[in-house]
Formats: sequence, structure tokens, C-alpha cells
Amino acid sequence: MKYLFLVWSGLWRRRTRTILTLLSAVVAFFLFGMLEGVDSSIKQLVGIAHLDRLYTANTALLPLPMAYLPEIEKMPGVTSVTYVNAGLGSYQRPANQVAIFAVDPARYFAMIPEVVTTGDAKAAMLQDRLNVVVARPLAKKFGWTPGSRIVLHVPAMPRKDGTADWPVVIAGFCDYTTAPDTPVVLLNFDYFDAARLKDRGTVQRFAVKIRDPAQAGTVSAAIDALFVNSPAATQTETEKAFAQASISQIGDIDFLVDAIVGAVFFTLLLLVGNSLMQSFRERIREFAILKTIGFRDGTVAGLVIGEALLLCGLAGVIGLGLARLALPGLGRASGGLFPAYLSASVVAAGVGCVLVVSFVSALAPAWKAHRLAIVDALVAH
Amino acid sequence: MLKQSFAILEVLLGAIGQRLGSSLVTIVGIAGVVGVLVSMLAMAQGFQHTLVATGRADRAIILSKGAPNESSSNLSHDVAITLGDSGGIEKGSDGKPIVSREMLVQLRAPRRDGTLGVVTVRGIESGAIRLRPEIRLVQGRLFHPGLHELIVGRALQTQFPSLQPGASIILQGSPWAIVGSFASAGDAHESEMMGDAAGLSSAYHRTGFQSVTVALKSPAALAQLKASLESNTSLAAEAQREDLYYAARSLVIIRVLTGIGLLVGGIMALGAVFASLNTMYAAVASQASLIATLRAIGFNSFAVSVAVLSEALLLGVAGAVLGALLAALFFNGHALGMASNQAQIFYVIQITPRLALTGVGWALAIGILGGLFPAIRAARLPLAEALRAL
Repeated sequence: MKYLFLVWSGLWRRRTRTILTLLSAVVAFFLFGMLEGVDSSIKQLVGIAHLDRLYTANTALLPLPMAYLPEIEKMPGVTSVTYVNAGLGSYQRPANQVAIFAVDPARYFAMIPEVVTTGDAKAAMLQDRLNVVVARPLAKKFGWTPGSRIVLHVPAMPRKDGTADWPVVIAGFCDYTTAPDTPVVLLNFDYFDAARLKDRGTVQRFAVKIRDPAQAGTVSAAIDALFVNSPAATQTETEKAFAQASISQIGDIDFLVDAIVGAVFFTLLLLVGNSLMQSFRERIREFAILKTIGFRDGTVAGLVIGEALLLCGLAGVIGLGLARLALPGLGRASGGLFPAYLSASVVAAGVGCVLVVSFVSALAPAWKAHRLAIVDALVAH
Repeated sequence: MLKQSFAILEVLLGAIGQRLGSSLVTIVGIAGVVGVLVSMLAMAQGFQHTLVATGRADRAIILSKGAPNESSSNLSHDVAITLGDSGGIEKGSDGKPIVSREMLVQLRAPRRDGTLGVVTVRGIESGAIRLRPEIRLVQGRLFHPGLHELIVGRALQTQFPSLQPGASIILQGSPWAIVGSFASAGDAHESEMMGDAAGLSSAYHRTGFQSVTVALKSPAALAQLKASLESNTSLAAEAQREDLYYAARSLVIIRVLTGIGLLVGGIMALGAVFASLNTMYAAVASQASLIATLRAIGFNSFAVSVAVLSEALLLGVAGAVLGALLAALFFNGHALGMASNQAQIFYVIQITPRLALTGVGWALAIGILGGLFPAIRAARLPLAEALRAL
């Protein structure tokens, strides 16, 4: 600590160079935070998957008859079943995206604990078919209050009357605790089913809660065996497998992020290393003087490493801080359809990068500072 | 004056060896920007080309009314049969309309990395081959209608090691043999498997179809087909020109990929501008006395600026070339999968000269931003001070 002032003033000896190097490094850490933030936010969806929850659907997403419900419920090991039809829609303008889930409220709220309703929203939704429960951020964004009458446009859910416009009444709010920004609207399945254009009496997907997560494979196979010879054969998988499959469909995100972050940090390494080397060359005489007045070799090398740590640390804090501020905006720009925030693991990886870049880039100048012979240095410079 | 600029540039470049480190950093930094930008844009373009190539103006795809895409479309067997008699459809030499009723099923199969991927199997009728002359077998033979046989698309084959001619897969509990592989002019169908629609329908207990694709008498005959569909509302079906349908499918992904490319490239470019500024300020500082001397003996200060800026631009171009080469080295021919509906479209990335030129354009912009202020400083260098330092 007592050398902090020395390190600090060494860093600011060439103001322009340090500021420019710092800004480049800030850009690198900002980019790192943004890319890894998005990547880990998406991956986190796999991590939070419930181990005791299975999804049963047709592989070609053909509608499944409601008649499957009692069959699945009867299966040994199954504790409860709910069902859902999901579709993307919009409110007023196409850009105002909402995710509509047509659900049976009694079954849904009993089985999906991560959706927490506030007040009497649940009871109100049960009371009237037109009542919907909406995610709190969504209600705030559009100024919806309980009792508001709105119309949602849902092209994926065409109606018998030839439109895709669903008039609904806001019953109350919910918090989707695992993905708070998802623009969820929970619609009464009965209302949806009665008014839909086609496929009445069918569902997209069953969610199945099982007693023992270890039995997931057995129960899945048993469910699929039930329907293998029916018009819509099923594929049952764990929520985790479901999440993984959905993510891998988006594309090779990992590869992209790794390639870009790799290129960025390789450049940063060269940049900081070069800046430190320049700075070292200019100050050979000063280092020699420090050694003359009694600084040990290790201390002088430490000063060089300290400067690198300070520079990269500062850049890391600013860059990741900016990413922390910008990420929620990015999530909102996607309409809340994918979450984006800076997780602790990304911050930890960022700290790791600060250390690696600092030490590797300071290696050469620190070594030279360590080896510096006072006499040679003072004579030559 | 140009001569003066050249002379100064020669001096600056001659001294580049003394500043090799920082010049290299600038080049590598710009190479990074160009590499990332060019790769992302190539991904977007490749996806666009693949999807756009799938459709033709003289074909139309008919889906159920309101269906946003093929996989969520559902046409009953009777409707699909009736659709073939609509107006505007080209007839073959046998006098029958050239149509293909198609149904889709999806299955999961292990990808190269061992994870499970979604594979689309397209059930087609014999008319499909006449309708799509671009499809040709590259290995094995065509499936026989009525038998449990499939053919696999060339792009899909490279991504799923288990889906090779000679292998067999289990559909609905019974084995289906893969008897051949096909190419389709590099379009989206190469990411699918194909089999006999009737056989697949019976295996999956299905009666309907997802889509009916028809050959149009001419691109203009689409209006006739549309009118014919509208006059029979009981069909509840809509026709779109096939090329427009596929172009619309690619829009979102292209926007996202291009957006990411520009955003990430832009942020990296900002970093590269800082690196370039650093290098060029260092260049001016290290050659300060020399520049001052030249100006003292009558060199134009504008010529000095031009020379400094030229060096920044040269570094930029060098970076752009390096970046484009690296992108080509790593990504040219790299097969990539992008989501389209539920399945993925696989395509090969091509770094085209045009994309490389875009990269050079960006590099020049970075060079100008990074060289301008140092160039101005060089021109304004206080002569007396700079010379005193000698």
C-alpha cells in the first residue's frame, strides 16, 4: 500500500498514453462483460431448470389431445400435470412484444412455484375467463392496473371470428422470479380454447411434475410409450434437456463469444504490454535511481507489475461497470425475451482476466526492471 | 507538396522499426475489428444466401391461413389435394399440375459434439423432384415410395455423423434406412432429410400436410393462384411466392447477426481508434525533432500532416488485410448452424472480396480517426522547442 502513490504517479507520467491505453482496456472489458453476460444469462436458464419437471410435447409440435392429460396423471411417479399453449403477441404496436401463455390457472399456479402472484390476482383469474395475470414490469411499462381492458394481438393464436385480437381484462400481477423481465401474460386456457380457430381440445405441451427426479428417465419413457401409436406421438424430456435444446437451436453462441473475446483480449495483451514497455524504456534511469537509493530488485519489478494491475483493474472496474449498466437495456431491447445481466461468475472471470492481462503484459518490463544493473543504466541513459 | 509528404512518410516509415511494438499493436487491433466484423457479416450473408436460394420466383408455397411459417401450417388431406387444381399452376408433359404436397416431422439426433439436435424430415411426393430440379443425388439412390427409406441433405450429413447413407434410424419405433444423400444448390433443403410423404404420414399416424408447393406458369401467375384460393374460402389457405417466403424467414436472423456484427465491431473499433491514436502520438513524439528540422528547412506543415495521416492509414490497411486473411483462414468453409423455425439451417461461411473491402473501409475510418489529431499536432509542433531537444 505504501507504494501506491509511487505506482500511481508512474502510471500518469505520460498522461495521453495512459488515458488512451486505459480507454482501449475499458472497451475490451466492456465487450467482455456484454458478451459473457448475455452468454451466461442464457446458460443460466439451464442451471435453474427444475429437476422434477418434465415436458411432454410432439417433436413436430403437433397439438396433443387434451385426452392425454388423465393418462399422464395416472402414470406411477407423476404427482401433477399442467398444460400450456404459448405464443408471441403484441400490445398496440408490433414492437411491444408479449409472451402469451394459455394455462389452467388452478393447475398452473399449483405446479409452477417460480411464478408468484400478488394479492388476489390468482383468485380473480379463476373467477372470470377474460381475466389475465401479467408480469409486473409489463403492467408498469404500459400503465395497466387491475380492471384495465386491453386487446392483445396474437398472430400465433387465430380466433374463430377471423381475427387474432384477444380482448382481456387485467386481473392482477405476477413476478416471474427466474426471468423477471419476461413479458408474460397468463391467459385462461378455457377462454382461449373456446375462441380459437382450430385444434380445439388440444394443447401444445404438458408440464409433468414427478415425485423422484432420479426416475425422470423411466417416467419419460413410460409416458412416450403410452402414445407411441397415436396420431401425435410424444417426446418427454426434463426441463433441463428442454432448455438445453432450445438454446442450442439459437446457434453456436459459445463459439462466437469465445472467438470474439479471445481476439479482444489478445489485442489488449499486446496493447498494455507495449504501453508498459514504452513506459519502462523511458524510465530506465529512474528505476536505476530507485535501486541506487535502496529499492530492492523485487520491489522495482513489483512497481512495474503494480502499474499494470492498477491500469487493468481500473479498466476492469469501469468496463464491467458500464456493461452492468448496459446489459439490462439490451435485455429490454429484446422485449425481455432473453435475460441479460452481469452475473457473479462473469465478474469473477473478469477479475481473472484483469490478473492474467496484468501479469502477462508486465512480464517483460518487470523482468528487465528486476535485472537492471544500476551502473549500466546510469551510464547509458 | 505531395513530394514533401512522400519524403516525410518515408522517414516516418523508415523509423517504424524503432516503434515496432506499438505499430504492431495498431495493426493487430485493427485486424481484430476487421476480422470480427467481416466474420459476423459473412455469417449473416451466408444465411441470407442459403435461404434466398431456397425459393424461386416461379414457385409458390401454399400454407394454411394465418400460419406464420411452414411448421405451424396445417392443411387437411382433402384441402391439400384440392389445392392442386387451383389456377396459375404449371402443368407437366402428362397434363397434371406440377405440385408437391409436403409434410414435416422432426426428430432428435446426436450432433458432432454429442449434443442432441433437431432434424427435420420432409415427406415429399414424386412431383417434388420435378418441381425442384436443383435437387440431385450425390451418393446412393433415391428412396422408394412405400418403403421405410430416407435420403439425407449434404449439409445435414456433415453435422450429424449418424445420418449417413447406409445407416438407419428409428422413427416411431421402426427402422428407416438412409439410402442416399442429396445436394440442393446449397439451399435450406440441404439441412433436411427427405422421404416418402405417404410412408411418413402412415408411420406418424398423420393425414394432413404442412404445405403445398406448386410450379407457377410464370411469376405473374401468382395473382391467378391467389384469386383462385380466395374464391374458395373453405380451403382457408394462402399462397406466397416461394422466394419471398424464404427471404422473409431469413430477415430476423440477418438483422440480429448484422446488428451484433456492427455493434461488436463498432465497440472494438473504438478501442482500435485509441490504440491508433496512441501509436501515432508516439510516432510524432519520437520523430519530433526530425519533423521540426524538415519544417525549419521549408517543408509545408500541411505536407507533414498528410504524411502522418498516411502512416495511420497504411497501418489501417495492413490491419484490414491481416484481419480479412485471418477471418478467411478461420472461417472460410466453416459450417455454421442457425435457427430457423424449430430446426437449424446449416451453411458454409464465405469471406467474399466485397466483405473484405467493407473491412478495409472500416480500417481506413479507424486510421483517419486515429491519425488526424496526431497529424495536427505534428503540423503545429512548436519548432523552437522541438529543435532545442536535439
